[in-house]
Amino acid sequence: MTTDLLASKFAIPEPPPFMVARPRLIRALAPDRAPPVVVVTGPAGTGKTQLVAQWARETGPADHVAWVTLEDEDARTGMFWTYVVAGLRAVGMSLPAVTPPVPPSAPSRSFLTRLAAQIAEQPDPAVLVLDDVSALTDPRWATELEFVARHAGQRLRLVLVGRFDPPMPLHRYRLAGRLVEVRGGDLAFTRQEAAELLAWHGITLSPPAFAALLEHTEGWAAGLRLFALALAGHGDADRLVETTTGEEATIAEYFASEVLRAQPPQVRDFLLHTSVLGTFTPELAQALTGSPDAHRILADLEHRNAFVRRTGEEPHSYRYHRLFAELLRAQLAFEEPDQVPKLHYRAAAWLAEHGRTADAVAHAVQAGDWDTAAALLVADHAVGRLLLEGGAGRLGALLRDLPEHADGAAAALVAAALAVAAGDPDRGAACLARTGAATSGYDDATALAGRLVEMSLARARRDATGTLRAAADAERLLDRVPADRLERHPELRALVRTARGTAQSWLGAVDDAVATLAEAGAQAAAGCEYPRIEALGHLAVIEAHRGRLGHAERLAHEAVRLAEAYGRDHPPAAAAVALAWVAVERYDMHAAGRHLRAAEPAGDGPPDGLAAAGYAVVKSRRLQARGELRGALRVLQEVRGEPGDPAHPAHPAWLDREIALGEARLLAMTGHPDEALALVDGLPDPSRADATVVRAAALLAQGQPERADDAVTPVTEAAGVPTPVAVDAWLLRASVAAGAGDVGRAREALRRALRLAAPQGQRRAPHQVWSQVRRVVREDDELAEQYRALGRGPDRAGPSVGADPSGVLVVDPLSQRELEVLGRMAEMLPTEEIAASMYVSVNTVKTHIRSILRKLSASRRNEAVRRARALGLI
Amino acid sequence: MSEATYEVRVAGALPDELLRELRDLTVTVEPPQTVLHGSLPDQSALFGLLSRIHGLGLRLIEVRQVPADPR
Repeated sequence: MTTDLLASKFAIPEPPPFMVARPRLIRALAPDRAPPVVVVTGPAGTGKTQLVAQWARETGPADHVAWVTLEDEDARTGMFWTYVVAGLRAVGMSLPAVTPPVPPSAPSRSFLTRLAAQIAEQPDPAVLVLDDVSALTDPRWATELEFVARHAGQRLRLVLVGRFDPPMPLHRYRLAGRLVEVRGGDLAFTRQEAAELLAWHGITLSPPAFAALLEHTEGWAAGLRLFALALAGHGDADRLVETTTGEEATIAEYFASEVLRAQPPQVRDFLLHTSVLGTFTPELAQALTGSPDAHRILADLEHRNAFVRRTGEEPHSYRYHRLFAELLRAQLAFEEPDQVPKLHYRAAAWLAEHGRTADAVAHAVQAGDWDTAAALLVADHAVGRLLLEGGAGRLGALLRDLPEHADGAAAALVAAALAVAAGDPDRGAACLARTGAATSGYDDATALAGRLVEMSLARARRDATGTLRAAADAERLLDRVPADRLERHPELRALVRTARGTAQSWLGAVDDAVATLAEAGAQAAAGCEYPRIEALGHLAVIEAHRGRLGHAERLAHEAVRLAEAYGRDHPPAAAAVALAWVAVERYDMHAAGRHLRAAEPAGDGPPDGLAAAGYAVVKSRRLQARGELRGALRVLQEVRGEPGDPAHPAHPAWLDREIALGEARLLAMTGHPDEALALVDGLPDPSRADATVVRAAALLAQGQPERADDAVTPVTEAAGVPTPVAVDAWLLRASVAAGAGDVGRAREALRRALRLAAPQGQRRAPHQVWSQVRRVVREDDELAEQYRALGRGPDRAGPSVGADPSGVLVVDPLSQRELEVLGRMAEMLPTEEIAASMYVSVNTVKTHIRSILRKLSASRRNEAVRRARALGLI
Repeated sequence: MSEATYEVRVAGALPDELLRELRDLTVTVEPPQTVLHGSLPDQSALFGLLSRIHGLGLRLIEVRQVPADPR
């Protein structure tokens, strides 16, 4: 999703005005033979970030240091890889084919593999600094990063900064001599460094006092600096050291008593109140504190090195040093606990006014004001985000803990949206019921959110009529939203269009569905990825059904490509079904099997009705082509027998019809033409061309060729009949004519069928009747050539098995396992990865590869992959 | 900040991925618990270990600093 990535995430922190150079540590960080992993750990306030920043600045731009500052929510919101990729790109790394995962997807194996491969190809090595990996609560990032670093050759060095050891295999790195560590003990200020720090602040101490201070602080940078801050303007430094180092005070007490007390009251309040903010501009600080001097105070604090630093963003913004912010917040909670929610609330109001919805929602949540958080989200029209991302996006993660009983229409809508997105329509409906009888009594934004949630709920329940009704209302309301607001949320239109197109398809209004889905599929704005993938997949199945195979294939490939780019591990089921459909119609049974396997619902939620029905149609045709008519019939009967109530049908109407017709055709072929006729006549609209052709096939099976021919003739003469139906009609007439021994008419009918089938390479249908009519064309070279040419359709790379440009023939077909290995070789996966992903040993994979090379007469892997592509094997 | 010897008790068995990482600690299984014993360089290493245990969803029972092994 589009996130305005904050520039401050990638800025190397500026040095404070009083910077103690620490050459001993800089040298430790970057020894001559730089190891690939550097870990800097130590407690808060030991100067970790400053040290690495100094090192990064000194190594200069030649070394490509990508810096990413991480925060707690980056782990929860799945933004980690988005930031890493953006950070690497920010230092000029070219990563063209890498798209970070979009919530709710986790990074897929293929994304990580691709990223590693692209890093490995960089001309120059890069350094990736991750500041504060301890903020990441979910440890998955470490496994993923380990994987990328391992496969990125020597092109990526990692510098991990955190309060405690990151969950990486440090022990293994240590043994391999690939690790440099700078730990808490190393970070402690030496006598000389401490003296330098105090000198910067213009503080002179007697040797005993200095020794006492060093002993008391144990060389802890923050302690020394807090002390320096307290001493600034303090007359008698020695005495202060004496009073503060004598007792065992915690740093928090020391901070409150010495540092904060030393500030003028106005500054003190300012510090405490702004501590609830993360990164903030002086304007926001002013709005929060009511202090007109925010600019001056911040500049002054920065100058005095009071743990405030600029973030390098425009307009100027600041943030407190993490430790300092924690201490300030603790103090605020202690002194003025009732102020905390009020401050958050005020920050939320200001941020919402300035269009920063997500930040505003975060503060409202911290204020414990769920109703306001939800209301802000609804007023900003951000409910679409929740419907798309569920709890995985930033907003969803913030609102995931919304209490059940939160009243207010907005809170109920947010809870309903999250429930629907999480696949729990019943809970969604219960939440929606809490908004009252209708949302029409509310303002436009709430009404729109209500209709969007209703629409998604109706979709989840396969209530096409309800979906259309809610979608129409939502579109009307969308037209009233100011354009600039809508611009920030392109996903709303995409959601509504995809829902409307899907519902139209479900109700059988196929032409309307195509128009609507094409609009949704063309919506390329960021944030619309998922509705777009869904629309393209659905459209691809419809087009395959209508016989526009080339178009269906392009749409499906686009959906697969997008899904892969946005971090899905599996291709979208509908797109895979469409590709299988195209392959089966072109009589490429091998490819059809491969795509069917890709479409198998891998136990992820309820199988989508469209994909499930399309899957059955293709599988049945594939079995039929193999001569397994009973199996083909059973597949269709099973899917048609699924319990569905008429108001919530399990599949789109046009697919149900296709399934029934396929069943009738198979009944006629297996000696039950009477049942076939009964089935066709019982269909709605039984005189349509598609039903007429099947009826004619049943009549022919009954032994009534003349009646069959009479029935099907109007279909061959009508205009606007879908190509697959017209091809079937002509083939049927060819069969009738061949059966009657009328060679001339049989040839003519065949010629017409082949002419119709040629543009899209529809080989399956002619192939099915070929054996019956073969003797008719035996002496007709032209016809035979026309038939052979079908296999080399216009947009096919070549026949599925045969000669490739290099003139090599595949003598020995590849086994299923070999094809799997080949597919992974094509993804450029190393042998170990292939072995791991197939759960077999490395040696087994090597054996498969040797055998693949032999069968494809290739001497190298990439040659084998190229050849396999040319042969249409992958 | 300095090196110390710790004994960490965890409920259940540790997954292999963690065991591979803990080569420098002694791992003893005392069903239904697992005991890790050994010296860690500093607090950051200790917290790193605890956060890994937590991240793997294991239940931490006890952390004790113990006298160093006379070796």
